[in-house]
Amino acid sequence: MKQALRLSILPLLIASGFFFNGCASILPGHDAVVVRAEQTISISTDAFDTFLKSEDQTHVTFCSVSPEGCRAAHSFAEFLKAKVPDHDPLGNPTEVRRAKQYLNSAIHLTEVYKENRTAENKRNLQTILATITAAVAEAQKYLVQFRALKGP
Amino acid sequence: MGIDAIIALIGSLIPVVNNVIGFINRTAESLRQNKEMTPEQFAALKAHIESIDEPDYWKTDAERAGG
Repeated sequence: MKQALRLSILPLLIASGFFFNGCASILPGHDAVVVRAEQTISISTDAFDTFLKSEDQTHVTFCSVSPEGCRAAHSFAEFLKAKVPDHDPLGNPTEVRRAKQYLNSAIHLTEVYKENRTAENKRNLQTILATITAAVAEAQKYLVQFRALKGP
Repeated sequence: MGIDAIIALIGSLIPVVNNVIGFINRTAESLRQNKEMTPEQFAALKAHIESIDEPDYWKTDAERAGG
């Protein structure tokens, strides 16, 4: 049973390992900061969407098996979905969901870095990527639990 | 738990497993491209993010309760 469970979560652990550690080298002529930023944004976009969709689909089942885990996963989903103050492209105040704000900020800071590759712009980009990475790690923690619900 | 409940449980989890497998496949595809995105790819990513919260499962409990 334990062996089967370990095997069932292996793909996710491998994926998360690639995500956090990177893998192959960057092609010549391409900026590693930009490549990693774009990969992080792309993967995180899917990770957030997959987590929210799976949490929605498994909510009832997960709560019957693990009420505490269910509450934690749902609380984190609500955190990602909550609307927070932001600004539209014209600078007008608006609201956007937190997960989307993370991704929009990373897109914006990637564009800023591409236009002007200074140390400060690099630092700003890496800061938002670290925030996103932490959020994705939390989402992946629950995705593993959703996956484990299926059993061997 | 009866056999019917177990079958229902497994049935309800199939879409979730598909989601996770799809996520892993997309992750692997992204990591295979160790180069910067083309402007078209980057624009497509931005457009995808722009519309990502359209599905109902992106709504909070309060939004769903409010219709």
